[in-house]
Amino acid sequence: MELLERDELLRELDERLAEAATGSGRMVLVAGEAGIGKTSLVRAFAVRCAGRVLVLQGACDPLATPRPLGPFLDMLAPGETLAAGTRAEQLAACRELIAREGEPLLAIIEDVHWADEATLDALRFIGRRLQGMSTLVLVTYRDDEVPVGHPVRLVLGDLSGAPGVSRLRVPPLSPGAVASLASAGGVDPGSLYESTRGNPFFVTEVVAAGGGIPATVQDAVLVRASRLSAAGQEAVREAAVIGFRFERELLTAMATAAGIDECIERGLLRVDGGFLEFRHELARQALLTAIPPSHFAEACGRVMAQLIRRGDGQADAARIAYYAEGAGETEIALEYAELAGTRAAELRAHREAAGQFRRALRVAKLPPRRRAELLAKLANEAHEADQLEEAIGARREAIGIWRDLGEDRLRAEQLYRIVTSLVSSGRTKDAEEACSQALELTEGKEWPEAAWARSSFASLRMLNRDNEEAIAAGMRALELGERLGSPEAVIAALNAMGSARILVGKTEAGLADLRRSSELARSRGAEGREVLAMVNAGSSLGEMGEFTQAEPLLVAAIDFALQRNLDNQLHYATAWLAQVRTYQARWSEASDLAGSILRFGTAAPISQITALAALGRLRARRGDPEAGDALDRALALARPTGTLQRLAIVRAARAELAGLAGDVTTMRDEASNIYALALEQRHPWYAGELAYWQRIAGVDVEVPLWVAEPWRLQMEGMHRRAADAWLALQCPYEAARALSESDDEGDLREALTTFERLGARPMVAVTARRLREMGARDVPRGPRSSTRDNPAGLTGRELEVLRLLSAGLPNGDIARKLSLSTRTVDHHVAAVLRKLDVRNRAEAVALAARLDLGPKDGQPPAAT
Amino acid sequence: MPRYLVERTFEGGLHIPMTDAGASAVMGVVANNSELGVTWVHSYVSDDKLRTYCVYDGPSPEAIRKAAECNSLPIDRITRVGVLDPYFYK
Repeated sequence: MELLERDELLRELDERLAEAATGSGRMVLVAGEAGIGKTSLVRAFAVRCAGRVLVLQGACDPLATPRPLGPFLDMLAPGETLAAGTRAEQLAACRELIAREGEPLLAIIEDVHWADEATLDALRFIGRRLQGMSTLVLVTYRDDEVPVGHPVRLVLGDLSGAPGVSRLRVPPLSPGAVASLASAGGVDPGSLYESTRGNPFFVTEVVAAGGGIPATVQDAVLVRASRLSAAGQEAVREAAVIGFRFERELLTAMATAAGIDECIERGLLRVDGGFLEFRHELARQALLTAIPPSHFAEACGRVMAQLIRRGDGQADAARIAYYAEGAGETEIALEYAELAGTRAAELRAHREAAGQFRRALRVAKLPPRRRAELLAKLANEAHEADQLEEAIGARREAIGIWRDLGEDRLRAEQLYRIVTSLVSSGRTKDAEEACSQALELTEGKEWPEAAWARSSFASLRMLNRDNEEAIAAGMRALELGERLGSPEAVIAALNAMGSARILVGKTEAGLADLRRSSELARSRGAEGREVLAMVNAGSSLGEMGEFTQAEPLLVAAIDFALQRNLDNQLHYATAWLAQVRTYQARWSEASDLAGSILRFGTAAPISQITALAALGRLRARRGDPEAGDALDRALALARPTGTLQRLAIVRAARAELAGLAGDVTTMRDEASNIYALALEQRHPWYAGELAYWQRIAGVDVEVPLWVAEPWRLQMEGMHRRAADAWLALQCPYEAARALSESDDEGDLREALTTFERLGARPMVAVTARRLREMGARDVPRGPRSSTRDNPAGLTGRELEVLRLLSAGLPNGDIARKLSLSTRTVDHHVAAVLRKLDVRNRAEAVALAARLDLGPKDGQPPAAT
Repeated sequence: MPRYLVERTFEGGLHIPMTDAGASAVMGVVANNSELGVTWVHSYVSDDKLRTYCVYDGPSPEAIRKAAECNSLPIDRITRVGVLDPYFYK
């Protein structure tokens, strides 16, 4: 079939393939409305490439519960399997499948808007790791069927920023192209274009049917089908029930050979090896609408019987379950749905697994015990798929059933698990309620469930920052967990205890607990819990201002979570790193980190709050717009939590913003709002900052001795010592702020230099004004961009050399890169060492990093 | 998409020649901007060429800063602005 108006697109795909063949993999996201010809395009491209390049094709199924990793399974050679095992292994196996060492490969994955969760994960994983693959991955999807918030949209948005990933939109046909097709079929071109708006599928359906122009695609398909003989109509109807794409043998058992052949000849069905498929899902859907329910049920039954007879129960469980439900075969549907659900859960396609368990519960009237068991399975999967409301609902019902049956242990288990879902959805009160029920139920019993309940209690205390109670409860849970043989409880208990210990200043002990928790989780393959320990360590240390220690933990957690597609933890760790970077005055990095989370608006509220607080604060410090916007959003999200750790960072940032704007009243109100709670929970960092802002606002607030040292020193007027303490925590902005409160001209000048270097416009103005009021001379009035970018007075060329030095290049390579002689570069390096007043290259690099003159990732050095 | 006013100071003055080199420098800026979703609307330049006031449409202040960094342009100050036109009040 000749394609109209697709040459440009095919040429672009040729280019991408050529680029990929050099070893830098490429991914193209091919988008377009239904029927626009995405499949035709990629298939035509595949034909074009055949012979030159290895081609692998797979497609996602238009089923409510698609096969997990369906398109990857399609690509397997007969007898080949996809390695199961851990999530990391599974993702790596998918990538391996479409990468051949040194050999260019075209991998086509179609209809990703129907993709299951495991496939989406794999695409994201692969999309971030295209480097080193000589593969072009073509991914097609219907962009009109992917509303905001749809999981596919998140993946697509995530990928479109990645290097090597590009988008291609397939446009409708032009009126001219429609006209040429119209005249070939004897149809009026004007009306044809008006009806179809250039949608190729619609156009070809109408032209093939001949006669008048129907109002909808559906009508066009039905008209076309009605022109078949009786045998043909039977065949196409049965085909519609079977599915969009299926093994030919399934249809041959249900329709005559003549009928099937007619469908193929007339173009309603296409042959692809041993498979038949509809030209388009639209066609199948249209035909389904015309099939009476009783016939549908009967046909489903026959397909189901065939698949069962084939005996590939495991692989086909999802399909059999679907047909069994359609046929009203409740027992069979139940059996296979449960099987399919278990299989999907193993492959971590949680949404699909939940769908199958949902089906199982739907089709059969089950005895209570059985129902409760299935509800528990559904809840487990729904929770992982972030369908929290459903998970909570299912567990509530299960809890009721176990209560009626007097099954205390099983009830305790569900209560323990519902706590986690409730906490994740921010319903802390309900979580406390469920936890106390679990405790009551397991009081004094020697069950592992008792240990779980106690560890749950410890976690809740820690989340509420009742730190001493958390430690005590954690120790009890630990003892129970070890004695009663419940590793899960031990892991959770250590997590709660470790975090709480850090939060009361017992850093070493806390880290030891969290390390143990992480290692134990790793030994059990519980990746989520393993990274949770790392994230809790990093964020707790961050909360206490221990940025030097927090940083490597957060960076490691981010890397870990990224590798394994653990989004929840990834987002939270990233948000906290943004906070840390903000304090370290690395504002560009901080805003990148915060932005990456806030881009889609679907990250968990606690991550958004943390990211927004960081973003708002750095905007305030830079004097950039929209600081208030970010902090207003943060407050709106933080208020419902009612907890100190969410509200304090927001209120403190809001106080700082008000201070920089000279709004003393707001500064006082924001800081005092949460101060009482900070005092009550003895939080040294939050109490310190909030007391500081109140003092600046003129409130004579009582400052306890246990506040964090830098705050205390600053409020006691010990500017120099405070500045040193701040620098020890890697906070140059706070250090400069401490100096800026001094009366000593030297201190103020030093503060001014730092503020200028950091680009803190409001504080530059404030400090410069103070200097002038003191009568100091030579205080710069306006911005001095070159000085700000280049405090050591290096020339542009010297700056380039220093940047390349910092990247680790030896002089010879620098010379080559800058097209200079090595002697000239030696000369420049000597000048750099002299101007920076250092003895050797290593010192120069270290100093450059501190002065922020080092290489910026991938960007060319700024000319002066 | 918000609109931002960016004030810049050029120590040696901003001199973009009316030649091919100048045109390609300008188009390079436009290209870098579009990767970040930033659109350079136009700029006002002081007579002594030391200061410019540049109008941009972009998604966030951080995108404006990133674009400036890609193009090696200094930033003194970013302000979010709305448009006020005498003709609004007819």
